[in-house]
Amino acid sequence: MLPNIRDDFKKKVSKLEDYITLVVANAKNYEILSEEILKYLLLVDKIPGVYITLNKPYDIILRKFKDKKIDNRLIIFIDGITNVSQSNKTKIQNCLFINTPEKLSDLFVALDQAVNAITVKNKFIFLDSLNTLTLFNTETIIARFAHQLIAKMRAWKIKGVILSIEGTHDQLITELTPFCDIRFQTPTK
Amino acid sequence: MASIVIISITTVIFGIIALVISSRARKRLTPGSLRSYIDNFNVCLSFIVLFTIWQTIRSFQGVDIQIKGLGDYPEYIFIFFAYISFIITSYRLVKISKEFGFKEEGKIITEIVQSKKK
Repeated sequence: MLPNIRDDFKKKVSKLEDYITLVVANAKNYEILSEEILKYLLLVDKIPGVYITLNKPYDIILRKFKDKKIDNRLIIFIDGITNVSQSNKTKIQNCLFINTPEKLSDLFVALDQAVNAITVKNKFIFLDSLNTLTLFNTETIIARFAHQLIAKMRAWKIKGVILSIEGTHDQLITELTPFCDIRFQTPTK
Repeated sequence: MASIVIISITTVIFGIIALVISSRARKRLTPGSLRSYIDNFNVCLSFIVLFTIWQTIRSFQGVDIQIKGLGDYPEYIFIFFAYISFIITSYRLVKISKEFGFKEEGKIITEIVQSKKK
C-alpha cells in the first residue's frame, strides 16, 4: 500500500499559487499516482482544467471517473490516443480527439483554446504522459515541445502537472526537471 | 507611369516576402490542421502574387501580354482562383474553429465553478 499520495502532493503544492510539477512515476504506481493527483486538483483544490490524455482513450477515462464518482464536467479533455486505433472521431461533449500524438502543433492549438476557454482564474493542465509523446516523436522534438509547454503554463499562471514514467527516457526527465517548480517522485513505501 | 511600376514591383516584393515567411512558418509545424491551414493560405497568396506579377509586367510601357485563348485579361484567372482558394481556406477555418473551439465548454465549466462557490 502506498503512503498517502494526495497529502504528500498537497504538502508540496499547497503554498504555491501556480506551479509546474513534473511527476515521475514508476510503471507500477503510475495509475494510482495520476489518479490521486487528479483527485487532489478536482476534489481538494476544486479547480477546473484541461486533461491531455495520450495513454488511455477518453471512453476509458470517463468510465473510471464514473466508477470513482469524479465530476468530469470540470474538465476539457484532449485525447491523442483514440484516433490512433479508431479513426475519424473529432469532437464529442467536452473532448477533442486530435489525430495522433505526433501532431504536436494541433495539440498546442487545442491546448491554447481549451485553457483560454476556461475563464476562471485557477485552473490546471494535466499531461498524461510525456513518455507517450516519445513514441511518436524524437526526444529532441519532445524536449522542445515540453519547454514550450512549460513556458506557456508560466504565462497562463496555471497549475501544471506533467506525468512521466521513470526508466524509459530518464535523460529527458532530467533535462526538464530544472524548468519545473516541483519534482514529485513516486513514494517507495 | 514610373510610379505605377515602382508600386507594382514593391507589391510583388511584399507578396514574395509574405510567401517566404509563411513557408518558413510552415516548416516549423508538425503535420496537422494548422499546417494545412497555412498550405491553403499559401495557395491564396500565390494566386494574388501571380496576379500582381502579371499586372506589373503589363504595366511596363509598351509591353502587352496576351495569351491566345485566355482572353484579354489573364490576370482575372489568377484573381478568380485566388478567391476560390479563399473560399476553401475560409471553409477550413470554419472546420478548425468547430474542432478547436471550446467556448461553449468553457462557459459551462465557469457556470459549474460559480454555482459550486455559492
